[in-house]
Amino acid sequence: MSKYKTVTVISFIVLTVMAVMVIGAPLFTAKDPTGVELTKTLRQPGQGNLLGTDEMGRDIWTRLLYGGRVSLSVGVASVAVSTVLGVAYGAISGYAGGWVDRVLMRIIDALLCLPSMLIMLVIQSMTRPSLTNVVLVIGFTTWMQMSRLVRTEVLSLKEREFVLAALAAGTPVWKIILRHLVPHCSPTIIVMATVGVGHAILSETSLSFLGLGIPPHQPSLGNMLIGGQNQILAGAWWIPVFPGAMIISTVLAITFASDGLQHILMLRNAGIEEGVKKWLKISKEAA
Amino acid sequence: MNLPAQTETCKPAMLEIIDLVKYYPAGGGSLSSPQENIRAVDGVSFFIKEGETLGLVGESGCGKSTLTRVVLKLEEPTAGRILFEGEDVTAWQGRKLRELRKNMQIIFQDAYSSLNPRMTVEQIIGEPLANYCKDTRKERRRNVRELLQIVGLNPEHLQRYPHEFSGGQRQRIGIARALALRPKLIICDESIASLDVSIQAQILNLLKELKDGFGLSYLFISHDLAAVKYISDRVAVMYSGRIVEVIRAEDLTKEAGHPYTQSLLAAVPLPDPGKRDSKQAILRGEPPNPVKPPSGCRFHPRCPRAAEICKVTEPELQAIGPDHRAACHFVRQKFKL
Repeated sequence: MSKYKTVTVISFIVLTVMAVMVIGAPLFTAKDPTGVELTKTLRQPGQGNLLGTDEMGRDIWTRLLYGGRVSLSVGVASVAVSTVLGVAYGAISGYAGGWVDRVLMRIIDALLCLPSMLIMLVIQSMTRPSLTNVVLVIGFTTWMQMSRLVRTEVLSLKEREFVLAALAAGTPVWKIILRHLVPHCSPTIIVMATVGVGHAILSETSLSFLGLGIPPHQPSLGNMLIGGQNQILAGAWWIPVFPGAMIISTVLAITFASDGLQHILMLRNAGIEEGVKKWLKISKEAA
Repeated sequence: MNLPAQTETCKPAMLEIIDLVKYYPAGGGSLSSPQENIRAVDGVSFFIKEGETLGLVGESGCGKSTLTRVVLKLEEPTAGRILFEGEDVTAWQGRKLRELRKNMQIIFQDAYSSLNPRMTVEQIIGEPLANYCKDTRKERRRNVRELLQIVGLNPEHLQRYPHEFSGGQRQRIGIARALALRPKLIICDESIASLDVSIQAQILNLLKELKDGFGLSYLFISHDLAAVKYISDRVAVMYSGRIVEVIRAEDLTKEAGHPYTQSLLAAVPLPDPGKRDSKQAILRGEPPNPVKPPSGCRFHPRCPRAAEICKVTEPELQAIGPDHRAACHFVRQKFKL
């Protein structure tokens, strides 16, 4: 049990450090992420460039920070899109019930049948690659799981007496969904959204790696990987290794963090605050 | 029986229910098997006069809670009519339904699950006010404080959450919420069943005070005969989705005509068990299956007085005296009518 807590705490620390470094990127590097210096191509880590340079002489450390910024913001923004969409769709479906619910859920089943990467590729190859497009495409292809979970919760929540009481008190349906039902799904929503950020970052890197994500001149973790693949045989291992390690550690940290979050939220009785208090107590005892 | 009941002053009743039916589908309905229904409420009629309290008793699963939900229009009735102050509200929707809800409120059985655990007392009691009154936050807070005072809670506890209160206090919050819109009718759905006996008495007295203070009418649902007798003017007894007897509360102990009412009365524990009337049999057997209720009189498999006719013909509610009706083939015999 205590081992489990340690992992959670470590992942939260890793994520915080990454967020700070990525958001405050200019504080940690003086160089320009797109600045090409053809006299300094393929330099090894160390000599004036902390993590070396790529084939165009761009500083890897700087690109890592700015690339991480792009990848993390794509992750967070696309999850915001998919969460809003998924929660709204699921809550409406669950609350309406009956045939509306059945139709809406069959639409989701149909969408889930299509591999989302394929849809992303098709849409991305038809539109011009840009940050906004990547966010929207990932957001619009990953909301289905969230909406299924929210729908299931709403289905049981709407029978609870406080919802009936609100209905009898004349509360309009949209207000019941927003003020009574969705807040009660928040543990599920939070956990799903955290997991979603990891997936979204992976999707972004895959899209960029295939050349359909972030435009190549902009740094992103996926772009850095594709740039590195030609240079591995030339012995420039540092070009793909650092962004690769960054992707793996971010996604792992997010996965473990969401696992921990789930435990915290499942322990709750009277709300999230209570759950956090309990969890802190347990971890203190364990320590 | 299908005519709207007239009170003595010829004023329409506050609430009148006519042949109300609520079925829930229970499987079947394919080509091979016929559609089966749970007959939760199966032809119920009653009325409540202004300022009157009608008690509704019956065992678990007899359809009491379904009845409240249909009357409040939280669920659509399968058949039948609901009249509020003489107007047929059965098909009301939208704006009209909103206006109706202002006049009919409910207090639930379990005060904890009927209060949203993530909302403060101010938000909970303020919710109906926010829905109907365009008042400022300050005014609303003043109203909520006043309501808290009326139901005997500390008005300083506005920012507390439901889990910070005791069971009795939570029920008072529920009462304050029901009272917020100054309704004409409040339905108490087993509102005291989950409370300690001493708290039950407090809540009952509070309900009585509020009734006098605000001129309310109650539909008071319970399976506690003593409480129902204490608070009600008339008592309706429900069995398997039907009303089997309606009687004035003060006559309940002495004049009960239906064997089911009598067995309910016999089941009330006495301080001296030796004084129990040995002829009054304690009810045996299980409540009937609401999907396939017994033929004829639904009570006949458990009735000590059942005869052949009871298995075949379903008895209608028949008048025995003023404000006293019972659905039993032998009730007229009993009262020598």
